[in-house]
Amino acid sequence: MELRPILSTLMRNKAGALLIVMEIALTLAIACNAAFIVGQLTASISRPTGIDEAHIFSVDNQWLRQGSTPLTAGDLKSRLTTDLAALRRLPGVVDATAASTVPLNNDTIALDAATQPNLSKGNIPVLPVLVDDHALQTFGLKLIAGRWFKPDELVDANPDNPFAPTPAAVVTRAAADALFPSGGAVGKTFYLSDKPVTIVGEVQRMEGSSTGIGHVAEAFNARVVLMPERTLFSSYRYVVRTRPGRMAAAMAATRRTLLGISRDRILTRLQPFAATRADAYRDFGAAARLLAGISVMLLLVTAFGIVGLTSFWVNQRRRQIGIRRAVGASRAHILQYFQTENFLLSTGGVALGMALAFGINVYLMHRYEMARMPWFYLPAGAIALWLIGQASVLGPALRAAAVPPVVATRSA
Amino acid sequence: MFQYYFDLAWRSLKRNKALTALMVLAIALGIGASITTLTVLHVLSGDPLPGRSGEIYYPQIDPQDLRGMSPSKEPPSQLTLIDGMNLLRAARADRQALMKGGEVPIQPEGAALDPFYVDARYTTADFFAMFGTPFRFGHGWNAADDEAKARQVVISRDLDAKLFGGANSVGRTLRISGTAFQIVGVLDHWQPNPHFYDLDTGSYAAGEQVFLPLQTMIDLHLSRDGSNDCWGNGGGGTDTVLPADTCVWLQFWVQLNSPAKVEAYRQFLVHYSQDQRALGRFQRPPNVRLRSLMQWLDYNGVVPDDVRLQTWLAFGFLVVCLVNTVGLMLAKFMRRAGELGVRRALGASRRSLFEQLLVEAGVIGLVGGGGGAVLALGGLWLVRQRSSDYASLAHLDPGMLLTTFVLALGATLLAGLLPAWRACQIAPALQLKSH
Repeated sequence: MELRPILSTLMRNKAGALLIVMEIALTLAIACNAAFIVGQLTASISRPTGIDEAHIFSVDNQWLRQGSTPLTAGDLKSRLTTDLAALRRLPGVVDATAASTVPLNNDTIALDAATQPNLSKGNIPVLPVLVDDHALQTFGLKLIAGRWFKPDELVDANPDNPFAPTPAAVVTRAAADALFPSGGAVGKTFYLSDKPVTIVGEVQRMEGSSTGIGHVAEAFNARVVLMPERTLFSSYRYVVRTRPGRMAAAMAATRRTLLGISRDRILTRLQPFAATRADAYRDFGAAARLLAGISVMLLLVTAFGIVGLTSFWVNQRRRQIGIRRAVGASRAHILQYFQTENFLLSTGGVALGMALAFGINVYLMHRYEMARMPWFYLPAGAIALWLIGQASVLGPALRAAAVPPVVATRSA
Repeated sequence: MFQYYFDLAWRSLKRNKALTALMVLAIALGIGASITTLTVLHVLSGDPLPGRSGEIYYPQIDPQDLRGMSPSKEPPSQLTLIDGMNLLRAARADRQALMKGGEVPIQPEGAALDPFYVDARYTTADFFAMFGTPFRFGHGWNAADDEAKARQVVISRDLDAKLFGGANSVGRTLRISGTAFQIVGVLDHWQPNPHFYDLDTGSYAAGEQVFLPLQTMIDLHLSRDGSNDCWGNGGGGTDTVLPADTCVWLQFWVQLNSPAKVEAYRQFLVHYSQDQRALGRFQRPPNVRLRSLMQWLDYNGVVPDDVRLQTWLAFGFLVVCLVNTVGLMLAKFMRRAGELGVRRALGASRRSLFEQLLVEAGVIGLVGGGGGAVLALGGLWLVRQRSSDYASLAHLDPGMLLTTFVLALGATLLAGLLPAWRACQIAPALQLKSH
């Protein structure tokens, strides 16, 4: 196929050609970045928390007081012990624990961790979670090194200073790697709020309560430090793990049992972990759908634009097409002509668009802590736009090919 | 003449239905997406106290120790209890209120309702008058009640409806966290957005259900939430223990009715800081700020980043739609070269042809704007299905509806400039000859 006549025709139609090139470039740039963001969001909001999500539910427990004096630690301890014993006896329940927080419940407290005390710089923020000795089995965590807490390591939390570091802690692999990059964290001591803490065990993975998105927030949320403390506060969570198929019954029994023990409390968010996850990420899911929707509309508008403009060109050139057909061009030649023309325009648009897409990504990286877009998004977007271009041009090009040679003999 | 052009435009658009539909669709999609995101942005950056916000200011002083000091650093965004009480009692502004957020259990009488938690605002007497809260029944408490740690409470209209069926509950008793409070006032609907007076409990959070004196909260050890920043060896404090003296955790707002008073108050803050430094409490040289309400919102960047990102994206989409429309319009106008040539030959000036074509573009814009408004209504309905604090606020107000049409018309006229100009360059003789 000769390119010269196509190019010289395009040169006579600069404005129209340039518009198609620009439209394809902008579409590629926006759609590539939108697809990348959607991909990131989807990957982020579906990453595992490291707990047995399908069989766990939790409930927020808040004790009420009668009169203006707060509950004493002794009082809270006996209530906690009674509740937990009752929950562990419920049918269908594997185990239960009281925790200061559960993954992804958006109730974040961070402490500074370091390998030396009194560091002014280089502290690593970690997420402390207070649990009792049943938490390993309740959450279904995977212990990969060291050991779990012994029952006698469990201490009473100080209500005036919650999250006061305990002498022993179990950390997630992410926390261990951040503190001791060379490995072998078990048995080592680190400093949490400048207090020494010995790592007795390491679990594979457990997400903290932050619902942040993005590589910084997600790395932070993986650094969890489990501390064996009884949650002697007026507000904490019960976490219950059930046998398969027993969740609904166990949830109903939990409400009945806890209110049967005492009505001086408010139970809220009694829900399976799946609901906690859905609450945490509803906004991000909606944002991903919105971005995807706009991208699809963008591709459609571009396709319609190509159809419209090419149809116009075909109509404008009916006579020339007729002449070409009369002097011997076959239908396939005419079809090829418009397809090649579109391919040239798409190639120009794609080249410009890839540069623009890269530029937008770099800007977003600076402005919104976005990650770098992997290179394959660009060629994938380019191929998609080539295909869309070819598909859109097919209709008008077929109509052009159908122009009979006799048109040449008529005056316009 | 305009009407004639309008008639011509209408005929021309009807002649080429597919091309017209494509242009209208492109404009409608672009405008719909941009207006949806723009409305969300507009709602989020709105004035929470229209007509009043110009007189409301947020004082900041710097009580921190010398560690980490640098001259360019902003003072902390809240006050310590000591400074808060000092500034409150100095009463140098027309009105002032000190406050903190929290959560309290409501224990209804009888067994019909289980106890439940509601958001609370612990504040001082001027809060209601300064922010102009509407009262349905009763009124707020006064400064003497503040000092007396009165067990008095103002409740929201929603809570009144839930507990008392919307009746006038002033004078009745409400049990809050084990203590009996007397209801002195019931607010009418009041939910300023953003939740400007305490951005740490959610920038677009639903309003509090109970308001009670700050001193009463301290006396009863009610639970607090929101932010608390300490320095030195300051402890955070929990339910029963207040934050240390080296912690900032209270918000303080003042009303200043004239620019002279604003300047005088700024001077007062500087003098206060100097006095406290002379007393040995402050270590840093005076570092004060006195931002107006809107400046405070701007400084805190309350509009979420993802909303800005979406707005940019939607406008990128609009640009693509416009480029697309330019192309289609170019095709449409150039196709009419013959007709335009005849009009030129009959004496129409280039200028009047240009006007005629722009009227045609404008008609496309208006129709597209109508489609865009419908799409924006649908888009906002989708936004309201989200769980975020702000999503429920997203509505198309008359101003935004007008913006929709202005934007659609403006964008299409802009898109029509190049095609119309090109079409006017036609040499009439050439066109006539070829016919």
